[in-house]
Amino acid sequence: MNNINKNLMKLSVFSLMLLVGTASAAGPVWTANPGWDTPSIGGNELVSPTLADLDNDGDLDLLMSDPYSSVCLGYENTGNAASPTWNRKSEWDVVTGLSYSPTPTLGDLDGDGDYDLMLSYWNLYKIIAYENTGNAASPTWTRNTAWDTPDLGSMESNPALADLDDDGDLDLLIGLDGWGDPLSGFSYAYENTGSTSSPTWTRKSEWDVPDVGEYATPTFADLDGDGDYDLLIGESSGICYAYENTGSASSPTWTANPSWDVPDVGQYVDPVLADLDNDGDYDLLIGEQGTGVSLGYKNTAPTGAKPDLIPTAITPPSSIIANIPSTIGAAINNSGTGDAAAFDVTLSANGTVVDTQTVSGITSGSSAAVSFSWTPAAAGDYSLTVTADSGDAIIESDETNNELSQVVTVVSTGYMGGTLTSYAHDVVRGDLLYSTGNSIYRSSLPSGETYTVEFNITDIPAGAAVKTARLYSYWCYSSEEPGASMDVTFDSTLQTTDASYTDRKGYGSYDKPYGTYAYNVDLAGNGEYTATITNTGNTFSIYAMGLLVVYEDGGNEVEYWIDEGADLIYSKDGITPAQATTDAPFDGTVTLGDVGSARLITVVPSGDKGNNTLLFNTYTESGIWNTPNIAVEERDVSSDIISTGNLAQLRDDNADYMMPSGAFLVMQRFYVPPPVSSGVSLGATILPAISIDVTPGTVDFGTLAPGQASSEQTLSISNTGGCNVSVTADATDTAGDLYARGLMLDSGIWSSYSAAVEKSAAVDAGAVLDVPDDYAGVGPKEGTLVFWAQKS
Amino acid sequence: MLKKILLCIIFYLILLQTVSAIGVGVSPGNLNFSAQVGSSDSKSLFVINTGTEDSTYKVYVDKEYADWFDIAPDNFTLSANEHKEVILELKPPLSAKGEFDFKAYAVSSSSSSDFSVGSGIKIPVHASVSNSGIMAGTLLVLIAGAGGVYYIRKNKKRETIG
Repeated sequence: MNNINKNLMKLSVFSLMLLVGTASAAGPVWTANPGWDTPSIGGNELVSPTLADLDNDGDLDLLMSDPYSSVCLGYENTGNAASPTWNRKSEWDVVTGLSYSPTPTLGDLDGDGDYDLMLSYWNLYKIIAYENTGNAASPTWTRNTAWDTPDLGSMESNPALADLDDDGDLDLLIGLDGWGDPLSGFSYAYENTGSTSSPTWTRKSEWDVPDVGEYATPTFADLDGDGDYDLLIGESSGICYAYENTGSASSPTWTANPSWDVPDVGQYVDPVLADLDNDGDYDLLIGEQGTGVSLGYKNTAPTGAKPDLIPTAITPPSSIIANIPSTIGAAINNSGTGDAAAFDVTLSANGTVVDTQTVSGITSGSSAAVSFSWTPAAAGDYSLTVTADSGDAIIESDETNNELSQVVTVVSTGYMGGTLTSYAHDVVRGDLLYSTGNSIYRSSLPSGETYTVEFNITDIPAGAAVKTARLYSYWCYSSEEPGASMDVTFDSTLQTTDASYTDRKGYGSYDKPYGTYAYNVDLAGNGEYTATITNTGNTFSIYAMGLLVVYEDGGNEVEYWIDEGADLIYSKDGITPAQATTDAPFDGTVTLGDVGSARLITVVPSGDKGNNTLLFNTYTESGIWNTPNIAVEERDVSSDIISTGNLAQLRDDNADYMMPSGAFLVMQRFYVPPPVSSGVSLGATILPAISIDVTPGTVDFGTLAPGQASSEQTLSISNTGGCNVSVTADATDTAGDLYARGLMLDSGIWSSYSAAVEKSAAVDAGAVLDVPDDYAGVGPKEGTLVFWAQKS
Repeated sequence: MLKKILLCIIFYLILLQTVSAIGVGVSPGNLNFSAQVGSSDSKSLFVINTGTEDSTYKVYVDKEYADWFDIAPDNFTLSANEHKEVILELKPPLSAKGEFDFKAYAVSSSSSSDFSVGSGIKIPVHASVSNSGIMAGTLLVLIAGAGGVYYIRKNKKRETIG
């Protein structure tokens, strides 16, 4: 026996997926199935297989060691999940250049959804790691030393991966061997004390397996369907010994169970467990010494009756509205022969689970209805998927038919409230007026027909100036997209649309454009004015027209806000009253002590149902708008004004839709207008009687030596007073007599300086510091020159 | 490029000159006081900072008349264009009588470690001081004293006859 003989234990992620209860409770029965045998690689040394889906096609592929080299050979399963056929796939080969007799095992060590590799070699004394830096469909093996095990103290080893403490990451059991090695035959355990994305191997002797003889090659699977890992360990005699986990999923206890042992297949065997025929239990490939082949063994134990959970229908509501909870129904049918205990069902939207429901159980041949709640964040098409038994709690006869998908369309709704647009916020000494004239609702205005409103304006004081005159047309149910087409005249003058606001339900029936158009019109003062709408497009309806006037008459000081728009709101189809609320913010800071009075005017087309509420800061009034066709309500909110964040909210409480279109806050400040008189305001700026400015305020004569004169510095003296002045100079210093003796103005000593400066005129004086020859001081020297002015 | 740098330097120098103007203005342009010895007369003098930066101002009168006046405030700081009313209260000494001409001064200065330039205004002051009140008071006291002596003597004579 040479030391190339290898044992290999493996645990693929695929087998982990099938872990929970896919086997017979009575345990496996092993029957040779030569149809699954791998091709021979020749020679008479042990080959070590491991299985995993390396190309993400739903069946198990193969890596198998070449005992005569350092290479692990790739084989693609070109058969299917129920009947494997092994074909060489050299692109998957693991070429390391190390010694020989590699023993691979596969598992996702970094939680990125593809298979990574752990590999041992003869005489290496540890397991080394390769990260799959390709992807789930195309592996690329890249060495990652950070995942290597510590020194094992044994010449050869055979790794197997499984989550032995049920903490979500893969732990490691290493069968030890080696010619003459006293540890050979033992299996040592290592707990992953790192994480699902970065393993750290820490010795865990409690999980060790006793000596099985020689050349231990473990592999894991739940052989009795009790939810924990059981164990097969190959050995040099050619037998794979079975150990039932009589502990738990989080704390294994290995108890020999000879009834599960695999018959002697020769000598030096290396088993790997996997479901090779997709029947829900674990089969075997056993690497063997002598033929260069891994032998197939089918688990022929009866599996009994199994349920089969199939989502058969997804039932969305007639409309799914963005940001509104929707109930999505689903039906789950158990078409298998066995009953299903409790299991979870998930609803996913575009691949993200949005709700999970638990079904208490379904008997064979029955079905269950499931209701999910889903609140899509935005409009658009979504792929909804219902997954039965999302947690794989149920052993099914077919695990591949648990999903059903359906594309649904999510719409946005115009019935949710928005925010009116702030058109103006200003202060005038005057007031704000609003009227809908003699407007009446017109249910249909066909193309070419006209609609006329008379406004009789009488409340503008004589002499007042109109600051703003704004005409509104409130229309609805337009047959034309994106909104009604109309010509609007005011006082016979065709107007240009200054602002247009539209809204719509957004789904189902009555999904037509509604809106408000605004026009700035000329209005001189009181009088009768005519506004006319002419339909220039398709038919629409008209609620009314409105005329807003802001005038200035020099009277009360008024701060006003004009919010306008068109916001369809309706508390229905899952929209709460809070959502069916139109906001009208009045930004800015208010000095509460200045507030004399305040009134709030609201304009609500279709506000005639009465089941609605106005909120203004702390003010609340229900049933406020109940005037047919268009409701205009004015309320005194003097005591409800707050300093910042004044906000009106117009809310529908589930009556019928309404379209808040205007909110005007008019706040009169405490202000006593000046008495009307013919007086003339007087004002004057008086110059000081005598005043001069001197520039600059400081002079630096530089660095000078005794006997040296500075350059001339120009000082400007400006007469900024109301009379002519005579100017003299006075020098003082704290530097001995430096400035007293050395300061020269206009070439003469400062004391003789005199200048006459006329009103508004200026003169320059040239200042020179002529340091006396006998001056004894050194260093910086301060002094002051004052120009004195006196009336001349 | 050099041209631009020179222009920047010139502009900077101009800016410096503008910023450092020191100015003072006063109203009225002269002060006339009239007071009797023992009483006082007050006048307001408005001082304005006509310069472009904060300045400290002092208001005082010629040294020989300094004891005659209470000046409030006599030392203060004004921001540019700020003004302050200064009250000059004349309290002539008992020895004073006659017409006096002297000067009051309002002067600004900026603190600097260099050679500083200030501006000041000399305000002509005329004080007319009389002591007529003192004389009248003295005469009144003398008359009252003489009357008192006469009354005491007369009462003593009546007590002796009786």
